[in-house]
Amino acid sequence: MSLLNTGLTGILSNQKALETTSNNITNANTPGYSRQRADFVSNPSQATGSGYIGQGVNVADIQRLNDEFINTQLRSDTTLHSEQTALVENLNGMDDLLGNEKTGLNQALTQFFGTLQDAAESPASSSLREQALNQADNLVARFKSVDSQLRSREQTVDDRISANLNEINSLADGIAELNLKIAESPGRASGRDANELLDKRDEKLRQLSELVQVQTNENNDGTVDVSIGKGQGIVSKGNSATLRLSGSTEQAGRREVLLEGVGRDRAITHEITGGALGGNLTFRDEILEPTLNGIGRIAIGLSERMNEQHQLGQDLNGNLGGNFFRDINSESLARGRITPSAETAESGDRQARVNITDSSKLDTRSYTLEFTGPDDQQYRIRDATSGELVKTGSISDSRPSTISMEGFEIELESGDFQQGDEFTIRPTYNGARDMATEIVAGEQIALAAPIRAEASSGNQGTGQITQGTMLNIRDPETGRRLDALDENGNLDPPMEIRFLSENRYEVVDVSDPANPKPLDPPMNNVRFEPGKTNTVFSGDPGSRTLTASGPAENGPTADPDSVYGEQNITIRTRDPETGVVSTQSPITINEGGDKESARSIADKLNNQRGVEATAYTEATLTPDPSNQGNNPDIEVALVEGGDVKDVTLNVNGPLTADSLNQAIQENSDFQSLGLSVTNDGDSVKLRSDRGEDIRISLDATNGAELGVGKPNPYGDGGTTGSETLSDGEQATVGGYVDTTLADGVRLTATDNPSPENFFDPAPSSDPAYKGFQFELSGNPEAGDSFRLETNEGGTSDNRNGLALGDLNAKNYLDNGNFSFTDAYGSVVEDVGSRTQTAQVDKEAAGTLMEQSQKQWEEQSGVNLDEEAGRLIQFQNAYSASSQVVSVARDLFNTLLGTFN
Amino acid sequence: MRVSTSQIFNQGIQQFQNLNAQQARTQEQVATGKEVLSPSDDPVASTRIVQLKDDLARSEQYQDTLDMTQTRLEREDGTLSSYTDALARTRELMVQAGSGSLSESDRESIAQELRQVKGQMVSLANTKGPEGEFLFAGFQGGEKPFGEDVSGNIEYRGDSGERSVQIDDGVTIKVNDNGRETFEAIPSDRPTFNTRAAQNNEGSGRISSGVVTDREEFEQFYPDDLVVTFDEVSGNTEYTVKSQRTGEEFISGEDYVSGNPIEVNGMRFEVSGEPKKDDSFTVTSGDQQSIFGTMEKMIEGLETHPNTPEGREALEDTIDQGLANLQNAEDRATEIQAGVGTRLNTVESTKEFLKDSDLLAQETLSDLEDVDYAEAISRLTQQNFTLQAAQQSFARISRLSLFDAL
Repeated sequence: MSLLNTGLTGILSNQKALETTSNNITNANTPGYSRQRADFVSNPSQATGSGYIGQGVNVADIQRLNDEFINTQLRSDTTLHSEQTALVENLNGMDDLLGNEKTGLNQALTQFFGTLQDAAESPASSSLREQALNQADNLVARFKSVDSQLRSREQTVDDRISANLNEINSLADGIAELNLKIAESPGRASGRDANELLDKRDEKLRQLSELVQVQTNENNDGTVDVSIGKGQGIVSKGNSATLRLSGSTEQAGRREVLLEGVGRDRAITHEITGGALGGNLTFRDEILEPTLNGIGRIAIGLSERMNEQHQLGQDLNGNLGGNFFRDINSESLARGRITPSAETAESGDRQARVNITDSSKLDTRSYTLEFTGPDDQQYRIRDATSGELVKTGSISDSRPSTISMEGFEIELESGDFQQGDEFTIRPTYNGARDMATEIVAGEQIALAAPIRAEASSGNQGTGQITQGTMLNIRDPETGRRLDALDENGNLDPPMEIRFLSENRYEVVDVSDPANPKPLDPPMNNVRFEPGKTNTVFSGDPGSRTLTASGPAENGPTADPDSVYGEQNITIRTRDPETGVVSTQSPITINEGGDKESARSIADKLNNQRGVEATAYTEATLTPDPSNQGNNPDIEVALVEGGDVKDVTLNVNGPLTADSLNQAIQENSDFQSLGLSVTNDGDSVKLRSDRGEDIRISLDATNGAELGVGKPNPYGDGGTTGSETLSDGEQATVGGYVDTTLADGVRLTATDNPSPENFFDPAPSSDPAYKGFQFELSGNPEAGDSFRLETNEGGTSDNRNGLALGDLNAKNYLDNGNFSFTDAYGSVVEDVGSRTQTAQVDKEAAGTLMEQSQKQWEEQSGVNLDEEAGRLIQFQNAYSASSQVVSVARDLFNTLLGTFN
Repeated sequence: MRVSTSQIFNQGIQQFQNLNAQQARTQEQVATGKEVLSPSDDPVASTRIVQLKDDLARSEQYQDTLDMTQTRLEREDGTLSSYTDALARTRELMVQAGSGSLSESDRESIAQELRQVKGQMVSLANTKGPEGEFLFAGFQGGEKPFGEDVSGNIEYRGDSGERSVQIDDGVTIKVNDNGRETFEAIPSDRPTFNTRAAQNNEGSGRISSGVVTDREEFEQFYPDDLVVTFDEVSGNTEYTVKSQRTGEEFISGEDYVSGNPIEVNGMRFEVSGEPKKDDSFTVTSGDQQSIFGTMEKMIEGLETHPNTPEGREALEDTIDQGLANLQNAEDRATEIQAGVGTRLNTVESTKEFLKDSDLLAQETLSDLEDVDYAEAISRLTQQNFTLQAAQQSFARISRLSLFDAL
């Protein structure tokens, strides 16, 4: 009997084996199918008197040949390969788009500067100007075109990300379902799992690994928990999570991967790594966005720099240049750089903008601004891609509040900013899209400069003046318009440089050419070094000029010591970078009530840092026409402390301006006083450009009276006071001190009005910086003059055009590392090397994946030849077993036959 | 080692794809002639290629500028040569005028020809450059730089602007000489004076250029200036001549007769036409004289100095002064023309230099960018061969199956 059974076991077992083999054969091409093998196990043998007799064979289990270690390896390599593949696919053609001469920006940039240089060569040519304008329009169009191509790639990759997320969701659902089925499958208890369910789950896991990095954790009940990326769980037994992509680009700036939750959806973009999804995200956030930012930065830097330089020029119609490109800080552009998160935007009242303050300092990053609490003022700014903390601080309650960053500032204009608010800041992202040309006609290109200089044809000396260079239209610190030029670009006022001697000149206002007036603030006594190149105006935008000569009524006096009180002058300097205020030790003037000369005061001031003082004295001697007397003697003395240098003039005949002048000319000692003399027929004016006191004494035994006056060198002129001298009287005229203070320097004086203050205790000063510069050189002589005028009709002037065409030669962007074309080249190179790296990495990853696949196939793949062999093997065994049955039947029949 | 059936097929298919891709790339290189097809092929070479193309474009730009500059400078050079010829003719005429025995009509004809030559010079000074701007106008190239003022004397209306252009990285050269340097601000050997009507004169008065009649007296007065003012007193037009510096009056309330000479402090000039009340004219002494001023004084001298001993002495002085100033004008012209010549040389040599640099850049560019055909084609042949071999071997191996033998 047992023979029959044994044979039957063989038949049945081999039948199962054959079924398994045929299953293998038919599933040879099913993806993820692991080959199965029937496990033959001997049946327990029966103990008999003759020993143990085997009871045949049994298929204990259909074994699935699958190694979890190999699975994990394969998934890991698949993730890497898919990630690189996604990168390569997204990058495809992008380097060509940017680098190609026809589609890229490089040629457009070069041509733009080229046509500007052409126009600068011939500023009167309207056809060259038109050409330059056309190239500008072309450049802008090209920027926009590249930008829109890149944005459509952004749209594409976002679509891909969205599709990836949908797939992940459905795979997660599928895995959760399979988990349940596997956990509930019959046979589980005895350790037998439904092989094809396992295959299916493994296949889903492998497909998932194509999308994102996957980690698995098997539970005792046969379910598998799945987490992706850096450990974000998406499947837990029979439950799966759902992911989606946030909002639209306009609203939130960047679209984030969200994990749908019970309360809020949580952004998990930073947690995602690996796979096609990881690759797509890396491409979008680490390559595409910086590329858009990089190109935007070039557009913004070019616009800012062109506009700055263009504003300094004059166009063909004689108007100031204005903006060449659209103003980068117009309201809509500034507001478009900062976007609130979806939640923050719900309240709708927050109004903020981002102003570019210095495009040379901009980088290509995007930022997030969060109000982290615990109050409504504290904020944190992070790099949007890496999450690195960039700045923390708190804002004040006043609006607007400004947060300064490198190259830009965040201005919170109005609204109720509070804890929990979040914003995305992308300073350069829209730069290319927002670029536009502002000028519309070639004649509006400002190739000329608005200023020029002319030497007077009567000049005796060899002095020369340059035509002038424009430096600024606005104060670089305050942004306020400088008033040396009016809105039409006219010099306001027109000025004239007049040499008083070989090394002193004054600059006067010649709005009325017949009546020159002192400048405001005055430049009455400026030093000149003959033979060297001298700059005429202050080059320091923060410098200020103040004047001191006591109150206006203070004129010449008989008793000089009674005039000014003692004062302490203190100079304070605020360092423009650190804001630290340093104070120098105060100086004392008119100590103990002893009057000091202007020269002495200026000398003391010049010892202080950041202060430049110049002193000069003027005295007018006006004879009285009704009392001219005869042969008077007039003593002119220069008083400097205790030092007196005097000369006595012997006037011949009645005292008139002319006879006095004659006496001066004829007196050989008078030269030694170093005074300049002018005679207008009514009075003689004496001037010292060093600032000593001038003392006049009259010795007129034969009558004659002399008026001594102190002219007002500022504002509307006139005289500040005068004394009339009779025989035996004297009067002393004190000087003026004009002081120029450097940026951040302030002067204060103590108050001692007994009887007068020389310096106003809190003197007001006026800006000395004009925003332009002229240079004087050579050896001018007294009486030489140079006119500074508006460049009217200057259609052949190309000074500003040269500067415009030269903008690309200087390295301006990225803190002075790149010119505009360099910066573009760098963007192209970055994309090119990322592409090359991705291609190489993809190949390497592909090789690794192939290896893993080979291993998997080796373990679990079906080899048809092998199965064919097995078919024969099991078929033989089946036949053999059926023979056994046949023999058993024969034995039985034989046995039966015995009984018949 | 076990190999599954799908492994065999996958591997084969993968290899075909690889070989096909490689072959396609080589073919593209051969077809376009470029080794570097996109920046990712060789990012470093790519950047260098872009830089070289930039350099070439910039160089082309400079060469354009150099061509334009050359044309302009050549035009200026030609004009200056003609001007120098005119100066030579003027010298001949002046020397002729200085030769002792001249009749009234001789003088007249010399003066006439001087007028003509002066007119020639003015139109030379008003030459236009290749783009239609006036060459010698400084920055104001849209307006004729030299024209007649109300008195018929030539005045300069341009400015002292100098224009430069960039001809190479960091290299600029001046491309113009303005009218002031070239024609106006010529040093005068001895002190001289220039006359001018005031800007806001309402009447139609004109003032002649004037001549020195008594050098000693004039040089004593120098460097003071004169102001001639007009007044209307009981229906009569009167004039006063006073010193600008001191206000001293030399001629007071004199009755005005149009065309009558006014002689003061060794100077003589004429006011003609109808000046109105408060009109004024200035006589500014200085040590510069434009070439036109020099010629105007010569002409006036010839026409107005009387044939008396003092008159002849004054004429001699005028001619001497004129010749000296003429020399200075010639020297100035030579100086300026030499400057133009130097600049033309610079332009020429810069063009040569740029051409040479271009050649070098082109070579380097070609090395980086162009494909080596011999290498590429042999590579293509090899890849082709490899692909064929792979296809054939695959065909063979894939046909083998145990099932066929069963």
